[in-house]
Amino acid sequence: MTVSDELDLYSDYADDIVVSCDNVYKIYKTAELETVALSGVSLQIQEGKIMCVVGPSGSGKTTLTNIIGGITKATVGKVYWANLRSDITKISERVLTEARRNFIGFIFQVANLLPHLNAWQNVELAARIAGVPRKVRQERVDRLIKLVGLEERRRNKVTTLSGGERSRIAIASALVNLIDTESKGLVLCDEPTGDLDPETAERILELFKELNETLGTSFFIVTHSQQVASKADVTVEIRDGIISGFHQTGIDLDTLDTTRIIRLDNNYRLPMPTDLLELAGNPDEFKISWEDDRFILIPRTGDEVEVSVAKKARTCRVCGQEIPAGKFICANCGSTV
Amino acid sequence: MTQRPKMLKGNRWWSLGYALSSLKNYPVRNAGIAIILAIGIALPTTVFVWSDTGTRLVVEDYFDDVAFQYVAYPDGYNSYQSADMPDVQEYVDSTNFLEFSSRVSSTIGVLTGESLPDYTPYNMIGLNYIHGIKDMRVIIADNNFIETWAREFDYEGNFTALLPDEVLVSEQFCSYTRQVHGITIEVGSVISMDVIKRMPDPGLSWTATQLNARSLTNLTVMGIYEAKDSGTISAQVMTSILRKNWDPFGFASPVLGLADSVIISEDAMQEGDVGEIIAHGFGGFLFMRASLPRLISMGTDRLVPNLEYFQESILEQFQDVDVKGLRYIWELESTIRTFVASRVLTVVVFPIMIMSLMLTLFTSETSVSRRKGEISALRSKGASFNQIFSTFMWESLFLCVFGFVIAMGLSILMAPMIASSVGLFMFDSAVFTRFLSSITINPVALIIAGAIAMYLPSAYLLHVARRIDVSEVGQPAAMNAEEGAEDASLWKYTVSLAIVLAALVIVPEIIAPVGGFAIMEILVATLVLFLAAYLGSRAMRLVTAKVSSGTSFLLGEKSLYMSQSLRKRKGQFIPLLVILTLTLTTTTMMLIQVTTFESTLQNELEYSLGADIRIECSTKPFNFNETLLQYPGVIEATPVIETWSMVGSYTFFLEAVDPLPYSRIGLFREDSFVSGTPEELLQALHENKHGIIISEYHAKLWNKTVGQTVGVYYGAAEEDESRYYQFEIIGLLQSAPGFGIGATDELVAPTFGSQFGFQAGNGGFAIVNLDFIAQAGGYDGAETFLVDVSCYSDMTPLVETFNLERNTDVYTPTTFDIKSESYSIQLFLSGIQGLTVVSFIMCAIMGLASLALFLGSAVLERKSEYALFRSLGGTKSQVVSMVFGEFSGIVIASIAISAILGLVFGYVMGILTLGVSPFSPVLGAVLTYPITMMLIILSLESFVMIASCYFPARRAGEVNPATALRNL
Repeated sequence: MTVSDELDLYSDYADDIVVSCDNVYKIYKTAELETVALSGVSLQIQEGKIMCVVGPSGSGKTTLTNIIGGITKATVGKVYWANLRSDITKISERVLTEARRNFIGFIFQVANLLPHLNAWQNVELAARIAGVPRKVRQERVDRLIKLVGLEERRRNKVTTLSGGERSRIAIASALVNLIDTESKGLVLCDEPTGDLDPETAERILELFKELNETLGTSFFIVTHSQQVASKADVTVEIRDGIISGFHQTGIDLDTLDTTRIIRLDNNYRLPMPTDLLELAGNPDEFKISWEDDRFILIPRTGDEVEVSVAKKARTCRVCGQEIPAGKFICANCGSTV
Repeated sequence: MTQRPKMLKGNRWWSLGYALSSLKNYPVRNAGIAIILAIGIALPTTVFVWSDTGTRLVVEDYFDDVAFQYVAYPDGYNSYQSADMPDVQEYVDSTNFLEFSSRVSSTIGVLTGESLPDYTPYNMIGLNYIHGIKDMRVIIADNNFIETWAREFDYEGNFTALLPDEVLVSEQFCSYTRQVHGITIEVGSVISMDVIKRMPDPGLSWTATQLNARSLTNLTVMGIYEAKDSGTISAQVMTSILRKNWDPFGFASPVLGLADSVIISEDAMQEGDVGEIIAHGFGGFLFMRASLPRLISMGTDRLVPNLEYFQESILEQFQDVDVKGLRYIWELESTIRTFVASRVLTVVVFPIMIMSLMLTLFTSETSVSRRKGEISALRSKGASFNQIFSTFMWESLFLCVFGFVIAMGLSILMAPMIASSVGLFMFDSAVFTRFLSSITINPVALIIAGAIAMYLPSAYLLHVARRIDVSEVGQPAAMNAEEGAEDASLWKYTVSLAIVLAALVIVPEIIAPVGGFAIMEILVATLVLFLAAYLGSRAMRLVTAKVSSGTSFLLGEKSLYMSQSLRKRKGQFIPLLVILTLTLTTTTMMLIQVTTFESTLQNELEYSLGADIRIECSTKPFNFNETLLQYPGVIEATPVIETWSMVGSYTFFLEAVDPLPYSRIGLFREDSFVSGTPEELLQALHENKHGIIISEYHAKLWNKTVGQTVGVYYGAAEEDESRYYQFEIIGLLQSAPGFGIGATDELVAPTFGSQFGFQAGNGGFAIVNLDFIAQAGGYDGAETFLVDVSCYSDMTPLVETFNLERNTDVYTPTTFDIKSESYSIQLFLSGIQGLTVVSFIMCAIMGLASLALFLGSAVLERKSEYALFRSLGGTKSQVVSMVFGEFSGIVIASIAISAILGLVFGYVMGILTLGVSPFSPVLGAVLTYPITMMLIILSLESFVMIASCYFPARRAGEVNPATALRNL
């Protein structure tokens, strides 16, 4: 099989898809138990868009980020990277690392900057590791430092920078190999404004937007913050490893139930948003029906179901004798229901 | 169709650059690792450097003292030509084994001058001096030979290359000339002489024509010489003849030897003269000087066998040639062997070596695991596994090289310390400087050092990969999960420790620590030391925590923090406690080890001397005893006759003593005699003139017991005469003062006494009655006297008087010079003393380095804790005192446990060290605890360690709560 043959398998994906996850499962195994972190997650990140992921702690946000970034391998499912036009779960660690360098950038809450380097060196580090020629490297770093507005502090050790400044350096560092490349790339952010005050966070988000518009870079942001989520083009809700809803624009946490869209997964399963379930008194099951061009879900409890089944009397299809409720054999002819 | 995407392959050399910057950015941590590794490398290397340099120096000394190792000359039946001596020279020169060879000839010369009478006809054994004829040996040699030969002489003026009109003359020649002619020859004097080319046959008087002399006039005397040693090979081949010079009935004097000679250069003679002299004079000799660089390149360990092999190869090839040489070579060989054997001392420093390697591993692993955050950051920036892995490997390689270089530096400094050690913490600066300037590092030592240095990269290889793998991208800089306070019970560790220590003490009692067993037991003891230090540390940590919690009246609320902190953080404190305990224990242990060896040595010395004073001399009459008794302070003295003896095929010595005085003079020990006390048995010997006290070993061997008789052949006073007597066995002995062990077969290694020269060798000895042996064997004097004095200060007049006497040596335990009497013992002693000092220094460095590393990182990790204290209202000084209290608690805990462990291990290692030494004590080890020295050294070490806790504590106090809490 040639490389091109292999790549043709993914020609189905639209050109504006940067990363796609199809039915991704992640199961962490320890000696004693297995933990399902992701259970059949499917989503697509589009070029030049900002996608946010919201969800409670332990819902699988970080795992999803790592799987998208190729740091963690999915247990089951496919992860497609546009630059490779390939499922990355099948390729070697070496190729993945090389492909990641100018396709994925990471920004974390803790900024992940090296304390013994200064701001400029921290931005440059990823390009050095990637083997970008010195001249190109310098131009890029200068440009990015200017872009994030830290020209004055470029020679400062990161330990002397404020939280906001560190975040900016982390952003610049994540972008250093992504700009000037063929594919626009994707920046994965895990709580990028987690330890910043709202004002600084706002400035950082504006910077994201600006970069998004000027460089066409896509952003995938894991957050708890409404402030961040409000800037997103698409917001994904995740809960217990399952995507429980999509929102086409930035969200408002108070009106989630009005903007939520839920999608069938590859197995035709539909996740139920838990806030709605709570409103309905956490029912165990629903009566579903299709009436007047719409699905109608009527919540029910287990007891009600039993009662309804218990009360139902039947007629024997052989002899026409009535079979009392709760019985399944005809007393007259012995036929079973 | 889509093109394969462009990917960034990565910078192959990034890891090297990053490793270098990382080394630069964490100087303290990296220097700490390099120094600790260096200690592990340096210790065994030092022993090798010491032994190699020492061997080289003794070899160089030998070559400095001995100008020529060999001299070849025709055997008694051949002339120079018929013995193919020119071929011999051609052969030896072709081997590359020699620095050079020189043909030297000699003949008779006669001093001439206008006022001096004619010497012809000349008779070489005539009464020449009375006739005004001063003849002498004329040595004709090339200038290379003369310059090299100079080292064998004391001289005034110069002893260098000679011009044809220059001459060197011997002191005795000058003295004889003064007697014969009344002329005083001095440096600068001018003399003339006739060099006789054809020596007359002994007893015949030859005319001038027959003598065919070459006249040399106006020769300037450049130097006057006297041989330093009459035993050199040149003195052996240029022997004197005894001749009556003045009076036919008078004494003969030695003439015409090396002592009565002059030296001229070959250039002073004309062509053909030397050949004629070789044929008709005293003949020619081929002197050979071995090439030192060549011998060293062939290995100093094999130096003596190589020298011997060369001598044999000449003798094998040339049947008509004799080769003399290699005098005193056995001394050189014995010294080289002792140096090689002393390498076993490496096992003494094993605990420190292993400790350093353990600490290196621990520190490097901790350092790598603390960098999880950094690894995570690098991975998030696109660094591949291989890039990060090679960064760490580069770092480890650099640290390995630094460690190696530091270790070499340490070895170069420490090896001279061992060599120049003259006691604990006492060095001979001259020896130190000489050793330092001649440092030799054997390739084997370099290989060993290199192999140990590679331990760090190997450790990284095994550990780093794991660490990188578990570091996930996006992890915050490693914050250790909070560790719960340990709730272990104290007795578990205490009981285990007690069992381990008991086993340690019992094992040497069950398996005698001799030779290979001793080395094995030392290695096992080393492992046990680590186990004991671990158990002790666990126990002491809990004890300290308990004590801290009970000191709230002193420390207030701080006691709660301290006790909980000590119960928690076992990952941090246990290794530190173990390391500190190990360093302090090792110091104590080695102090006890070395003082035990010193005391055992002193005890053995006293016992082998046998009395307060031992006099060894040429035979002196028995009444010399009376002379001795007249000296002030002398209480008693006894002569000792030593003669060979035999029972069947078993040889041993008979030591004949005056029993009663000997019982009072002899420095007996409890177990000297087996079948009774020394007083009882010697009283019995006094009463039974035909009695004998034999060794228990011989009694078993011969199947004899007390009361039976044993037939003994023994040597009489007259040479080659022997006597036989059936002695009655009146007692059995194990050993006896003055004579050593009763049966030498009982010991594996030679006794200390045998190294001093006082052990009755050749199988052992038995004690008999002096009166009987003197009478039966025809002895009228003795060569050994044992003297008892009232106190040591009384010895001085006696010692001084007899030391001046020729052929008399006076020994006392206080004035005995071990260095000159037994180089081997001195070597081992200075080795172990030097190593103790070196180990002490290394332990101190390691203790301080680990304190700096552990406490430094503990403060860094717990910055937030201190910040919290400050924010809760704690003052800076409160934080400092709290942290200082906690850290010094650790040091105090290790001091406490190491005091106990040090005493136990010192006891065991003291015994085991004697097991690995190349000597066996007759009396067993004398365990000595140098309490004062231990207190001083340990207090000093503890003080420095406790004081060094202040610095991290101060840093903890300086934590800025605003910064620390903001960055939480």
